[in-house]
Amino acid sequence: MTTSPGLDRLRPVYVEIHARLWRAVLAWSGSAEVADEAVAEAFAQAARRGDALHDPAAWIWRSAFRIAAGDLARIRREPTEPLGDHEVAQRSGLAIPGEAVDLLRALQQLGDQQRRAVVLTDGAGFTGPEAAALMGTTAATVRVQASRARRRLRSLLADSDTTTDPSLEADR
Amino acid sequence: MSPDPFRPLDRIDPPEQWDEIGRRATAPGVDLDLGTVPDIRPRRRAAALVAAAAMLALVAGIAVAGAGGDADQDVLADDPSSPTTPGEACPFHLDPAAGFPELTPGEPSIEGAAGDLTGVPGIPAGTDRWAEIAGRLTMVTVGHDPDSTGRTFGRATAMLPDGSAKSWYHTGGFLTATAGVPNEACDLADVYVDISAMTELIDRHEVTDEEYASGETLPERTWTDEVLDGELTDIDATAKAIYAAIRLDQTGDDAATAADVCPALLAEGAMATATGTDAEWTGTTADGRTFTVTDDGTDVWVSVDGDVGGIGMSRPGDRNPVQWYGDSGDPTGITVGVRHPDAAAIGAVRPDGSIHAAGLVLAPDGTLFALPDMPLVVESDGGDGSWPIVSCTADGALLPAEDEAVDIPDPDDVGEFPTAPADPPPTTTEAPTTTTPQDDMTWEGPTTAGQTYRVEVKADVLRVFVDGVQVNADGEIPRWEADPTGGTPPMLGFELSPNPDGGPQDWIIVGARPPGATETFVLGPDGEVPVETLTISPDGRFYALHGLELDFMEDPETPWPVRHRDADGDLFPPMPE
Repeated sequence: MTTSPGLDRLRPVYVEIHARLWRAVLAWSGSAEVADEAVAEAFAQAARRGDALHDPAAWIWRSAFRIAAGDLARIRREPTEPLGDHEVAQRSGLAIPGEAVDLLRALQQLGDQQRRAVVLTDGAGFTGPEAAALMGTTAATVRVQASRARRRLRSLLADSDTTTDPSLEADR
Repeated sequence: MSPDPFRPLDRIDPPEQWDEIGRRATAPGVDLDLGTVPDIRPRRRAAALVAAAAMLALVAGIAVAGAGGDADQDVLADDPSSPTTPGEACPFHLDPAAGFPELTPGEPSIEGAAGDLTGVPGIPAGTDRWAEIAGRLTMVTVGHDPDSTGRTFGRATAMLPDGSAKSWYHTGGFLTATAGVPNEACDLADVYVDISAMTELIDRHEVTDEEYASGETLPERTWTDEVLDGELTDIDATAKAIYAAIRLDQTGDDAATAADVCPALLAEGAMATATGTDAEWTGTTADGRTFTVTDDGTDVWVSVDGDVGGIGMSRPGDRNPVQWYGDSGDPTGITVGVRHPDAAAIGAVRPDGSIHAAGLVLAPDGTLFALPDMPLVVESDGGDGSWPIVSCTADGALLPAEDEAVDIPDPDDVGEFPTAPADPPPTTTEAPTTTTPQDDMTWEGPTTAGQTYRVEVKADVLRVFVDGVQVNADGEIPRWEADPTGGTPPMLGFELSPNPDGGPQDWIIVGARPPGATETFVLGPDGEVPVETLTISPDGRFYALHGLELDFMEDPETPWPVRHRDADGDLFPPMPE
C-alpha cells in the first residue's frame, strides 16, 4: 500500500478515536455501512489535507457526520431501500447484540438534532461544549436536545423491552 | 432501560479500517465537497479569500485551475488569475457581483445588496445559517445611521456563495437582513435572522465587562479586517458590533419609561427568595406547577415537572434570558435572567403598561430571577406583543434591562435581599391574557430538525420563518370557521423544500383555533399524538405545527388530525360521521 505523510500523522488519531467515532456514526445513522463509509472517507480526506488541519480529530469527527448525512440522504432517495431498523442487522459479518439493535432502532425515531446531541454526549462522551462545537451550535442547545432525546429514548426503550424482534439480531 | 442505554454499543467491534483509509488517501480522485471545512487553520488571509473566490467561480460554473483533480488549496490560493483575487492596495476587498453596489467600509448606505439565502446555491437547507454567514462576513459596522431617523444600528455584510452581498442590520429589535430596501424600512424587511442568530452573537461576544458596565455610548466602529478569516474572531467582532448596537439603542430609552414603570413595579414587584440551593431552586407557576431552575455554574436551564426546555444561558455575564417553552402547546413560559445587584423590584411590562410580577422568585444567592407565566414570545422583539423585563431600584430608578445586567456579582457582595412577603402573592389571580387577541405578535417553536420556526402576525399579514428565512409568501391570517361536517378548517400550509435530511417533504402549517379552545392536539389514527413542534400563539387564536413525522396526516381516515377541545370537553371540529 502506498503511504502518505498525512497518514503517518493520523495513525495516533485513528487509534484514539476510530472506535468511538465509528460507534457514534453507527448510532446516529443506524447503518453500519454508512458508518464504514463515512469514517473511512473522513480519515482519508484528513490524510489528504495533511498538516493543513489544525485539529485532525475534531475535523474528522465533524466530517464523518457530514459525509454520513450525505450518505443517508442518498439512501433515503432510493425508494426500494428505505433506511429501516433492520438495516444494521442485515449487514453481513457484524455481530449486533439485541440490546444494541433496540437502541439503534429507538435512535432512528429521534429527530436529527436530538439524535446527534445524545449520541455525541451520552454515546461518545463529549461534554456539552465539545458536542456543541462539533454540531456547530451552542452548549445550551445541545443540553436541551440531549435531554429531550433521553426522555424519548427512555420511553422507546421501555416499550422495546417487550417487543424486541429476535430476527433482527445478526451474528457473525 | 439500563442507566446507560449506549453501553450495548460498546459490545460492537468496529471494523479495522486503517488499510482501507490508506488506500483511499493515496488513490487519485476528487475530494468530496464537504462545504465549509471545519478547523482548517487559515494560513494567510489571501488563501481564505481566494478559496472563497474559487467557491464562487465553481458555483458560477467557471473553470478554476486545480479543479477536476485534487482540490489543492495551495494551487487555488496562489492562482493570480482568479477574477476575485484581492488587489494589493485593498487586501480585504471583495469585488461585488455584477449589478451590486460597492461595499465601502464605514459607509452606512450599503443596503442595496440583494440576495435571499433561500435557495442560494451553496447554502443547503438545514445549514447552520449563522456559522455560514459568519464565515462569509466582509464587514461589520456599528454607529448612527443618518438615513433612518438617527437610530443606532449594527450591520454585518456577507458575501454569499452566488456572488451577491447581503447585509444584516440591527435596529434595536430585530437583526434584519435587508434585500434592497431602504434603511428606514429595515424593520419591515422580508427576511429576518432569527433570535438564535442573535443569541449566537451575544453568546460569543467579547465586549469587555468594563465597556458593558460603563453605560457610555459607544463610538461608531467598524471591523473589516478581523472578519475575513473565517475563524471565531469573526463572530466575536460581529457580536461586538451587534451588541454595541443593542446597547446604543437602549441608551436614552430608560429615562422616558422609568417614571411610568417603576412606581407600579415597586408596588407589585415583591421578590421572594426561591427554595432550594444555588444550583437548583424552584418556583411555582400560576396553575400550580413547579418549575426548577438549574445552574451548573456555566449554563442555566429551566424545567417544569422534569421537562427540560428553553434556551440556555451561559454564565457569567451572559445577558440572554432563559425561557422555558412547553412541549405541548403550553401558551406560557418562564423567563430566567440575571438580576441586577441593585434591583429592588423586577417584573414584566404588559402591552397595556401594567405590570406582571406575580410568581417572581430570586435564586437563593440573589443573582438570578425567574418570572413564570410569561407569554411565549421572543423578548428581544422589542415590541410586537413581547413583555420586556424591567428592574427598578428602591429609589424608583430604572435599571438596565435584565439582559443588560452586568457580571453576576459575588454572592457575598449582593447585599440584603428582599425577604419573602408574609403572605405569598396568590398564584391564581393573574387574569388570563392568552386569549386576548393581539393584532401584532410573534411566537416560536421547534422544527423536528432542531431548527426554530417563527410565526409573525402583523396587521393582516402572516409570515412564517424557519431559522430566520421566510418560507411563505406573505399570507392572509387564517380565521376559524366552524364546519359541522368535521372537514378541514381554514389553515395555511407551507412546504419547506428541500428537506435537509433528504427524506419526506417537510412542512409547517398555521391554523386558527376555535373560540374557547383550551386544548389543541394532533389526532393520529390511534388517538392523541404528542407533538413537540405544536405551538399556540400568545393570544391563543392560532396554532402552528411543523413535522416530518406526521405522515399520517395524509391518512384519509383522519381528514384533519389537528383538533381542539373546549373547557366542556367538546371536540372541534367534531369527528366526521
